[in-house]
Amino acid sequence: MSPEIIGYSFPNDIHVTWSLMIAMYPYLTGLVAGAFMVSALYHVFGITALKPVSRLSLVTSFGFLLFATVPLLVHLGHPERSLNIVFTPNFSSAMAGFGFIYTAYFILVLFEIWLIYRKDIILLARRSRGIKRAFYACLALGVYDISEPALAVDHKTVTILAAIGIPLACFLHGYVGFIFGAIKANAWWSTPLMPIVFLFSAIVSGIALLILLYLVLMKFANKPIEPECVQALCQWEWLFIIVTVTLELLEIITLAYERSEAWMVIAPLLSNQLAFSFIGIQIVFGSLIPIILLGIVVLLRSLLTNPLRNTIAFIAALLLMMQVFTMRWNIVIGGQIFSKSMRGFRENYSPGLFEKEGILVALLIFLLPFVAIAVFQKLFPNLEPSSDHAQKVEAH
Amino acid sequence: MEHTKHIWRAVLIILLVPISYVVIHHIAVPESFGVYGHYRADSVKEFMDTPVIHGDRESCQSCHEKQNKELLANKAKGKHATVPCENCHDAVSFHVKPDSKTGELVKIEKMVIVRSYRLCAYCHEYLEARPNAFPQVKCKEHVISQDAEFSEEVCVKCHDPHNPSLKEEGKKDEGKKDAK
Ligand code: HEC
Ligand code: HEC
Ligand code: HEC
Ligand code: HEC
Repeated sequence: MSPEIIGYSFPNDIHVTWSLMIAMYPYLTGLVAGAFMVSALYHVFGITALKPVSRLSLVTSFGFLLFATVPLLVHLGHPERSLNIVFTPNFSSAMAGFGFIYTAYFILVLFEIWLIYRKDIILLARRSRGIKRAFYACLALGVYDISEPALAVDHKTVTILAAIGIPLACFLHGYVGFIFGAIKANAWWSTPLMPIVFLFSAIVSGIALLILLYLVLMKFANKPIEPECVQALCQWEWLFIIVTVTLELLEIITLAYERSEAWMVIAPLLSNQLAFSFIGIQIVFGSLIPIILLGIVVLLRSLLTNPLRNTIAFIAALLLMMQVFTMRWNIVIGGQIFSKSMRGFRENYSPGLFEKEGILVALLIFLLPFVAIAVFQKLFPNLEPSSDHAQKVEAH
Repeated sequence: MEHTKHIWRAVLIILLVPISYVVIHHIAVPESFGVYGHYRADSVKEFMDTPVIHGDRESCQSCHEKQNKELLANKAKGKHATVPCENCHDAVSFHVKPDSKTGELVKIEKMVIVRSYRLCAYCHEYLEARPNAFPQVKCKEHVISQDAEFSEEVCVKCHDPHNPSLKEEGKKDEGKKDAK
């Protein structure tokens, strides 16, 4: 089939309309939800080993939240029109709720970060002069109360917010899965499992990102890496990747076993068009190997030295970041390269390097959240939590 | 409730979000939105007022019946009889316009003529998803299989775009001669 075919024609299998950007979008929102889950593990479920990443996870979640919609805006063009969906939502479309979920989640994470950093902000306000002081004083909302009871109130509110945040984060990301899962005409997408698969792989990517960020940031700051923290992250990561892969395979096994008409097109899709990215990267490279690596960390805990654990964790996390991205890719692109009438396939899609929705733009968008995290770190230097906060959690 | 002053201030600020939503909604959403359905009712009238660009199946006939009698007759008996002229050429309103005095149609602009194979590929390039009964070819392979060299405007060298079939006796070789 020639890519030179122009215009729209029936049956419209010529265009992969949902490009690389649409694969980026669930990837970024997934990182938002996943990173938030880590902070919730600490704030709500009291996994104290995760204390060193409790702030980092929230800030990461926020950083990615800031830019989660950028791929969509690049893809659609006319960013100013995006407000239409917020002010005149059409609820017969699953997309309509997005503005509200996104805004609610945005406020919640911002509020939570503010409470956690409030003491730092006030101390910074007291320490600095001039415009800087005014800036921090503004952020403190003019209240300089850091007495014990005030901090206790903060702490309680944070726990409540984190608890509300869990369903919200699930909603934020589950909805992305729902948008695919609810497309009846597409055999590769249409399954009620889709939101759950998206959610679990989101958590996998979130934890993986935090492992990477934590190890790298500590290395650069020349600070000690808490072995307990890395161990805990690896354990949770192991659990979630196992559940994720189970779900991902479950869906395919069901299709294969049922041998419904959909399988006649999905089977060749998986074994030809997606052979490399699905079997090769998503399943073998991205799942099997990390499961073994993390299994070593979890099961052979006593035999590992700290540097060895960190190295294994780092490699596993990198592979898992890749796994989740290819999963998004396989869903989004895979669902568009076969004909909806199940007659056959179009040529595989590969994004250009320099085009509007190409690889370079995707990389740039992926970098933006890290820039945001760096700026945040510049303004509020303590990405590691202060110790008195931790004591309170332990007392709690 | 001591020591909660900062929380209340933050909550107040957060409340500004729904309040501003209501205000902006009030100001920005057009009045006629939702009268008939999930759209701005006034837009219907605006669309009705936009000039018509495309013609119908008959809109070329009135003039070209005289000028291109053969062409039209040829097309009418060929396989492309059902393919509207505007699909391959351009919208009629870019080509002709009613005269401001007499109201009669006059030509204002040259009509687009596309000779590129891309025009044909748009409908005839082989696609798994196209119904089998529809004539489709893999453009490049097809041309080579007919002992011709592939080039941008090759299709119309063999096929008459207005009556493309070459399956009848005699037509085949006639076409091939032109392409070489
Ligand atoms: C399948 C596409 C297609 C359709 C449908 C089609 N044309 Fe054409 N037409 C062409 C192409 C291609 C040429 C150029 C042919 C060439 O130069 O060999 C052309 C040329 C012409 C010319 C110039 C002829 C000449 O000899 O200078 C006229 C006039 C014309 N078309 C009118 C029409 C009218 C009127 C209709 C509708 C009844 C029509 N065409 C439908 C593709 C099409
Ligand atoms: C007002 C009458 C009129 C109508 C309606 C009209 N044409 Fe023409 N067309 C002309 C005239 C006049 C010429 C110039 C003929 C000439 O120079 O020999 C022309 C020329 C053409 C040519 C040759 C290229 C050119 O511009 O010289 C094509 C192709 C063509 N017309 C296609 C169409 C098609 C397709 C339609 C319908 C969508 C259409 N015309 C409708 C009057 C008309
Ligand atoms: C707008 C769509 C469209 C375009 C563009 C188009 N065609 Fe066609 N073509 C058709 C249709 C519809 C038929 C009739 C199919 C049928 O009979 O089932 C057809 C039939 C044919 C046939 C006849 C096949 C047979 O059975 O003998 C040939 C050859 C052909 N087209 C060649 C061309 C060439 C060459 C071009 C480019 C100049 C072209 N077509 C552009 C729609 C198109
Ligand atoms: C060298 C001459 C030549 C050229 C160039 C050529 N064709 Fe053909 N084409 C033929 C002949 C001859 C047939 C009839 C074949 C047959 O009956 O088996 C044919 C048949 C077709 C058919 C009908 C196939 C079918 O299965 O019914 C289509 C569609 C077609 N051509 C499209 C094109 C397109 C599009 C191009 C340009 C990329 C093109 N042709 C270029 C000679 C040519």
